[in-house]
Amino acid sequence: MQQLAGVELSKIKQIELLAASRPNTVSLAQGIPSFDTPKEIKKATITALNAGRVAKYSLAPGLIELRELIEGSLAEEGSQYDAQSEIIVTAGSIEAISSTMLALLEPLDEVILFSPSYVSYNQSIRLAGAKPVYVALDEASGWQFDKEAFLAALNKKTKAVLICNPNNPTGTIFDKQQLLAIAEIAYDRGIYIIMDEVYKDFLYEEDKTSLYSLTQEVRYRDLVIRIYSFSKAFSMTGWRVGYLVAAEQNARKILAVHDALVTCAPVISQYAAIKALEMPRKAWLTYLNEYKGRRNLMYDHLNRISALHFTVPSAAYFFFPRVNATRIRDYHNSEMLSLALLQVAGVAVVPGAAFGPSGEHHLRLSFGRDRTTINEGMKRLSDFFAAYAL
Amino acid sequence: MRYSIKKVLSWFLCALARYRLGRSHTVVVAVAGIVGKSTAKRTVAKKLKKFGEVFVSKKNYNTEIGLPLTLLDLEPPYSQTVGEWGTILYRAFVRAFFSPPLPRLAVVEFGVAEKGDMLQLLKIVTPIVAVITNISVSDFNSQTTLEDLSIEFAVLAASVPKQGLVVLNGDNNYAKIVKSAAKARIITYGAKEGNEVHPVAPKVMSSASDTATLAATIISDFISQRGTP
Ligand SMILES: Cc1ncc(COP(=O)(O)O)c(C=O)c1O
Repeated sequence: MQQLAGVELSKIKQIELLAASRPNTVSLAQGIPSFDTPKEIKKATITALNAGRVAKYSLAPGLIELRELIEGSLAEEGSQYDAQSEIIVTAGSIEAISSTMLALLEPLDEVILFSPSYVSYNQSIRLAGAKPVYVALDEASGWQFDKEAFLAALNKKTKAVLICNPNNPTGTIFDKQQLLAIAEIAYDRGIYIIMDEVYKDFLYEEDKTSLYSLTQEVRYRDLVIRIYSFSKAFSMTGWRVGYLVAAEQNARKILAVHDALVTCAPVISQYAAIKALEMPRKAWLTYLNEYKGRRNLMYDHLNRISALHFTVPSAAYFFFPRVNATRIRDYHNSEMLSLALLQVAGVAVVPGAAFGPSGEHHLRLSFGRDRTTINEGMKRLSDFFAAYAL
Repeated sequence: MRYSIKKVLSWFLCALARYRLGRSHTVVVAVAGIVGKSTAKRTVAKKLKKFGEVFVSKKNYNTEIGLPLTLLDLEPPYSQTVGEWGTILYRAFVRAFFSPPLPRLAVVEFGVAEKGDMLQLLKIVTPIVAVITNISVSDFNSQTTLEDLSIEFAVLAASVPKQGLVVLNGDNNYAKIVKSAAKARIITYGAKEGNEVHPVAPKVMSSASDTATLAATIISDFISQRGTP
């Protein structure tokens, strides 16, 4: 199958597989929240299970009750989408992303990806037979959007741009001004704007308590596809549930692919998602504060490792330090370094190159894990760099 | 929650919500249906804003516990602990008697999942206007059929007083059952022949917002003829 040329298991998963085969490895690699799913969500799910509501398929786009709740939550922030025809509940956000690619792209189309950004985008685009084109973010300005570089990458084959906001792995928030700049360019050329907002609630700066989204602009309605996941904010990575929002004509095409791939998102997880959407802000803030504490903890550790330079992320739960090659003995690239860290120090991290070319010579460290893991992982990292210091 | 506790709780909340509604002289528009009721609720509320402040029930709080709570400006407790319920009951009591009255117009969502649900909801509010959106597609649980549910909507239609109005999506397969139950004036809307109100563009009304806009216009005309209390 030609599409599958170049689709390979992501570097994160490869590192995880390797790590799993080595006992006593501490992992700062995968972006999984350390928490169990909140007990309120579990309880509501058990109620639905016992009431006999989860045995059957839902409609392909998901339980109407859930879609109407999503519609309501979008309306509250100023995005008007129709529950019946413009919201699709998916099996996690990766299914939303892949279904979108398969529905909207033709083979040989090009999709702009920012570099660095989430690893699996690349495979999703390739799965649709299309070509990922990386556009570097500007590291010097804290990995912000670089308009010149973006314009330079566009051509007749460009069909979509994929924005991860807040960005994994850099924790960058693209603000309204930058998003509108991207949107205007996309609008002129009729390019789809796919927005992955799975970390939309992980915002650490006091003056930024909510994320601006392009779905709020009617002007770009026909081009925007917005994707969300319950995985991260509600510690539900295993439940496989997320959703996407798109104008009706796009949603219809995506729904056909979604239906062919999974029929519907797991119904039991859809009931969990209903409860998740009822979580009050206060309850989320408890989690957010803990993540903030972990960010500070990792910051303190990182500050003491002179071979790593970094900016403090404003969002998501990753540090993405640059490796100062002149300070490390035998350094080649981020992948070799990650392997050495795994094999010598017993700590799993993700090589920056996995996130795109400008991710090279960086490492991604997750502070989604608990404090004990962070402390132990960072200690191993720091011992390694001390031993290999030049 | 145990059945008996739930019943007592719902009775208590219902009495409190009724009391607040009563002293506010609020005209209630109830929005029901299987699909599209949230959209309809918001669209109708937006349209009615021109007559003054409008109370809109929150989120999907549309059941015998959720509805009275939202009418008392409260939300069901997220964790459902005894402590949380205690606080909520106390607040419900205070709000019922001492909070400022509700606006003169309210748009509330009615959720029915099983036989008998509608009667419970009608114990809390008596709508002057009822909107019934879509009864055609469903992913409801196995025990309840669409026929069962359409009877629930018929019960709603029957509850609207003579001087009120029932607005019904006439494209529903079950519209007839509902129609025959109403004693109030009934206006059907939809794309099919035989409906009183049709969409402007001769297209199939697929989206909930198209249908909601039609319903909202009908209600707005009705309120403007009738006048707000
Ligand atoms: C940016 C981003 N998007 C999407 C995903 C996929 O999440 P899921 O498929 O669990 O919703 C992840 C998971 O790590 C992610 O970091």
